[in-house]
Amino acid sequence: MTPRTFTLLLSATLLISCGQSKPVVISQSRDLTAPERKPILGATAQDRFQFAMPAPAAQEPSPAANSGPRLAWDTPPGWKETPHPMRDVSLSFGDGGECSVVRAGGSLVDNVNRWRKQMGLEAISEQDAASLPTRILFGGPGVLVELDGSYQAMGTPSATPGYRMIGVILPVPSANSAIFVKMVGPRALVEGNEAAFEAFCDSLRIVNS
Amino acid sequence: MAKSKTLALTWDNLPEIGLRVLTSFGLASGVLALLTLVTLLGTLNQIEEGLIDSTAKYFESAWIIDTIPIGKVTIPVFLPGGYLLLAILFFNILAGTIVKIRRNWKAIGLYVSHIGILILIFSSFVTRHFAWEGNMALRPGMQSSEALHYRNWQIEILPVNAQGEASKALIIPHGDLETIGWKGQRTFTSPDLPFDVRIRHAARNATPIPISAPMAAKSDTPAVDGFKLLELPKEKEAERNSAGFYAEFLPKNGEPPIPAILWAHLGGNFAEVKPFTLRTDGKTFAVQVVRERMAIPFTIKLDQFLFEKYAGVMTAKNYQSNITKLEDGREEKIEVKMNEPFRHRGYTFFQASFGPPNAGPDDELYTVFTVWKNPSDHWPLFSLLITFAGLLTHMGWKLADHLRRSTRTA
Repeated sequence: MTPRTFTLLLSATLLISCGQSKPVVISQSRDLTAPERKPILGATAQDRFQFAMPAPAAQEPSPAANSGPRLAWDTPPGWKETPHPMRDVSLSFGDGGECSVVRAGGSLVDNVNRWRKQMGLEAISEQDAASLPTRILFGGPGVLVELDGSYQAMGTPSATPGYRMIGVILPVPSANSAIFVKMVGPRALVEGNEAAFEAFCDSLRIVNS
Repeated sequence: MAKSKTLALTWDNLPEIGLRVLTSFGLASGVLALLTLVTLLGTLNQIEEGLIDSTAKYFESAWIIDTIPIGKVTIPVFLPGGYLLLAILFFNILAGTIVKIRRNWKAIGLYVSHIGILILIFSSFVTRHFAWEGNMALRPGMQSSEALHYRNWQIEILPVNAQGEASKALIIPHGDLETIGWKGQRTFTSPDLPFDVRIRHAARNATPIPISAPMAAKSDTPAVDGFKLLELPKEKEAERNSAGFYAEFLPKNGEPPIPAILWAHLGGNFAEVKPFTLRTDGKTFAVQVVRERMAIPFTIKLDQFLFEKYAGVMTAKNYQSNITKLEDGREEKIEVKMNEPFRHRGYTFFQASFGPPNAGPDDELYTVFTVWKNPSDHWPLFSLLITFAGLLTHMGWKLADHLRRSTRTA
């Protein structure tokens, strides 16, 4: 065998072996604890992915993604878009600041208290919720919610103190739902971006594309 | 100090030149300067990529290949990583200690202080390779001997018997999954399973998405049961990532592959796991994505969780867990408080948090410990004490010398 033939054969062997990764043998195992020994069987994809299911808004043809009426906004300087499957609009700013627009159902007091719980605050009554200040959103009277506390995002193991949340809830009775615009982040960061949040809320509009 | 002679660059001189470079103060100074730069860049990078990814990229790597956007300009970065720099510094100090320090009793302080620094650097390698961090959540009355990793996920395959029960789980570990990537694929096999598992898409952060949702168009996985898997940008807080995998189960009896989307949802502590049910070859298997587990060689039981809050809000003022450690038939009562962790056999239990997240006044609270296992947990303290002792000894010799000379002069 000439050196050239040998080199060609070696190269071919290497190429073939690179394309065929050998299966990895599963070598680790563990004994299950008592509560784990009866796994839930037969769960559907909907059951298994219930925490990932996008909000109803995301399952409908998205206004932002199709022709016809769509949601438009002006992203404040320094903010950036961070697409999220469960939100109509998802923006982030600074270190840990985020702002979102979503649509969902539920009563005003339930939604206000949901936000209060996220901030580690106690629930308020329906009467208290009804007396919250208002702020114009999409030309309608939205409810303004401003909260300071320890923020615990969904799915996170613990709350982070020193957070501030500002949100506007615009009930849409005809659709039996509401529009939520929410900004949350470390208190100083949110306070520094309140003007940007105001501008963002004012810029929200429905346009025809 | 005698000036060392200059060596010509020849093959014969290479070992000595290499030793001179390795033990040189110039190398140490260069490495320390680069470490300063890497620390600065790695710290700034946390703004964009968060703590975990920045640590991996800048401090646990051999090389840093990155770009830094400054205004509209992007600057490429190619630097030795923190791991490589510390390794060079370690051998620089080790070789310097052996070769350069004079061998007499007056130099004992220098030896000791250098050994202290070497222990400090070595402890960082031990931490990098052997430390493990997770959490343990317990309701009052519950006990556990395992902790769950904050960020690492693994796929578990549970063979289920005719009664719907399983006794063990075969594990595809995090280490084998994290290197697959979204575009890669890897096949796993086991003689205990009548199928192989081929992972075709793997993402540290992903979400299943109904094919009816507009964003499903962005996913390049096939649809399974009306869902596709969408890779998401990694979260800055790495523990908020939900790993996702597009898998195919390949029956060894020649039946067609069975596709599945496997996903780890962040359901929180005590969340019910709903595995993918696989039926093939007349057998049933439950396949789940769960957090990596660490077995603990003793058991912790939560007796009572005490919680004191500020008036009017649910913000914690103080909280503590009263636990019982069960080991070899013996019981020991222990209090774990916010700044008073419990340490035993290399494991440290910190009172990290409590839940449920939106607890009402009458809800039963559970405790969450951060469980930290690090064989070199106390080494930095020891190394600093050793270094301090060495410097003290050396300064003592120097002071004594100075006083002796002053006395003679006088």
